[in-house]
Amino acid sequence: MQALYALAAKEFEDHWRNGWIIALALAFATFSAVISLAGFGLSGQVGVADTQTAIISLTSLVIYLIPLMGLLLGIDGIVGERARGTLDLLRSYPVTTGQLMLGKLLGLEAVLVTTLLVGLLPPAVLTVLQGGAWLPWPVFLLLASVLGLVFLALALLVSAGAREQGTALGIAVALWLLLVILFDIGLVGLLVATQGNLPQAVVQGLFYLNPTSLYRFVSFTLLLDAGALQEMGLGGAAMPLWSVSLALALWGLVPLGLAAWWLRRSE
Amino acid sequence: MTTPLLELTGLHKRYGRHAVLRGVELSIAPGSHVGLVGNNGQGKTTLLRIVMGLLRPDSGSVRLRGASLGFPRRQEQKRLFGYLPEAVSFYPGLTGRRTLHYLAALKGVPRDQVAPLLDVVGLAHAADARVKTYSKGMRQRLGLAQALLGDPAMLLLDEPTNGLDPDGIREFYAILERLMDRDVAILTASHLLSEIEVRLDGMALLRDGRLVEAAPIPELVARAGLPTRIFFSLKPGPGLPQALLTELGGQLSTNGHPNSYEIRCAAPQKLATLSRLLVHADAIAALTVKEPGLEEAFHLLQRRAGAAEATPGDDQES
Repeated sequence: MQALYALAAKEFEDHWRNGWIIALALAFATFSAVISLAGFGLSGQVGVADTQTAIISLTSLVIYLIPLMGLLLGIDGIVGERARGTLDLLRSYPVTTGQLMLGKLLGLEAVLVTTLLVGLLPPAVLTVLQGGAWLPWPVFLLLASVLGLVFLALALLVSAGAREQGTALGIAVALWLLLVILFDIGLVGLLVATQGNLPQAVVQGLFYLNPTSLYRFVSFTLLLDAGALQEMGLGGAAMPLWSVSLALALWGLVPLGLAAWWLRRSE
Repeated sequence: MTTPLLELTGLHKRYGRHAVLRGVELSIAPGSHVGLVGNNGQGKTTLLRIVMGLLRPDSGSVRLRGASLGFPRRQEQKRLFGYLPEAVSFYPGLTGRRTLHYLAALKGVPRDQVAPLLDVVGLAHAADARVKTYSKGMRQRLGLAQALLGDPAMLLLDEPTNGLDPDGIREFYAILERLMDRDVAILTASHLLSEIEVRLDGMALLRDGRLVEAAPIPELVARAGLPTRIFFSLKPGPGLPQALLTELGGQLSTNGHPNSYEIRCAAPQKLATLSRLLVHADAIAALTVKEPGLEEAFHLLQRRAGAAEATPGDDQES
C-alpha cells in the first residue's frame, strides 16, 4: 500500500513539476470554453448552452482529447524509465510489476482528473447558475475519468512492450488515430457500403471493440433525457448498460494486467 | 566453515549463440567483501543481474542462506539484497533526500532510515539539492545509500567506482570499509584491480564465462607463486659478505645505483631472508620489501587460465 502510494505520488509530482498538468488543464479548459460557447451559438439562444447541449458537445471533446492526453501521459511510463536507466533499479526493489503499473496508473489518473476538473468547472458553473441540474457534472467527470483510465492502461501496455521511446510514441499516436478517428469513419463506411443491412449483432459487436464508442454510449445513456437520446438515434438501443460498463472496465483492466505480466517476464 | 550466505552453482547464460556464463560457481560468506574481477564483456554485469533476479539463468541456481531464489524473484527475497546497477541513474528533478524517501517507500523501509544513510555516504550536505546537480561521485554515493536501505544481507555493486576520480574512488571504498561492521556481505564487480586491492576478503576472477579463480586474496597471490622482492642499498664501506649475497641470490639492482641490490624470495622465506640480512644492519643504508601485487597475480592467473583453455582436449564445454 505504501509502495502504491509512493509510486502514484511520484508520477503526479513529476507531472506537476514539469508543467504537464498546467499545460493540459489550460488546453482542456480552453477547448471546453470554446465548445460550450459554440454549443450556445448553435442552439441559437441567448445565454450559455443548457446542460444537455453542453454535455453532448463536451462528450465529443472528451472523446478527442482524453484518449490523446491519456496516451501521451502514459506512454513514457515504463519505456521512459528504461531509457533513463532507472528501470533496473526499480525492478531490483520489492515491488510487483502489478503494483508498479497500478501505482503509475493511479498517479497519472490523478493528473487527468485534475485537468478535467479545471476544464469542466467553467461550463458546469455556468449551466448550474442558469438553473441547470448539478448532478450530471460529477457523473460526467467520473465517466470521462474512466475513459482516461482506459487509455492510460493502453499506453502503459505499449510502454511496457516497447524498447524505444520513439516506437512507443508512434504506436500511441497510431492507436489514437485508429480508435478515435478511423474507427468511426470505418464504421460509417461499412454501414453505407452494406446499405444498413448489417445484422444488429454485428454492429453491436463492433461497438465493443472501441472504448470510445462504449464511453459515448454510457455517457449519453446516463446523462441525456429520452428526447435527446431519440434525437441521437440511441432511443431504442438494445445494449444493456451493465454489459457496456463491464466492457469498458475490461478495456482498462486487461491492458494493465497484460502490461504487468509482460514486464514481469521481461529481462 | 560457516554456511555461505550466497551460493551460486552451475550458472549458465547465453545470448543467442554467445555463451556469457558457462558454469559459474561461487560462494560468499556472511559479512565478507568479495571482488568480482574480469575484463569488460566477461559477464560480470550478467552475473550480478542474475543474482539480483533481473535475468533468468539458462541453468544453475542462486541460493541465499540455503534458500533457492527463482525467476521472477519473490518480493521478500528481493528485500535481502541491495543493488547498485552499473552507471546508476536517478530522477534528475528529485533531490537526493526525496529520491531516498521514494525508494524507501518502495522497499517498505521507514523514512527515518534516510537521514542516517545520507550521513553514512557523506551526502548530508547535498541532500536537498536536485540529483541533476550532483557530480558522478555523489550520484554513486547516492546509489550506495539506496542499496543500503532496509539493511540488506547482501550488497551487489556493479562497477561502483567507474568514472570516479582517484579521490572519489578512495572515498567510496572508505565508505564501504566502514560498512563492514554492519555485517553485510558485498560483491563488487570491477575491471580495475589496483583500486580494490587490500579492501577485499576474496576475489573471483571471471574469464570467458567461468570463474577461473575464487579464493581469499593472500591465497590467490600465493597460488600465483610470485616472489617477494627485497630491495636494499649499502653504505660505503665493506658491505655484505659476498658469500651471503650469493647464497640469498642477491643481484645488483637494475636501477643503476652501484650499491643497490635486489633479492627475490618465495613468500614463506621472506622473514628468514630478512633476518639474515639484518645481522648486517649496520652496512645497510635503506631497505624496502615489495610484496607481490594482486594485479600481477591476477594477470598471471589469467594467462595460465588462457593457456589451459588453449590446450586441445581440455575444453569442458559439452
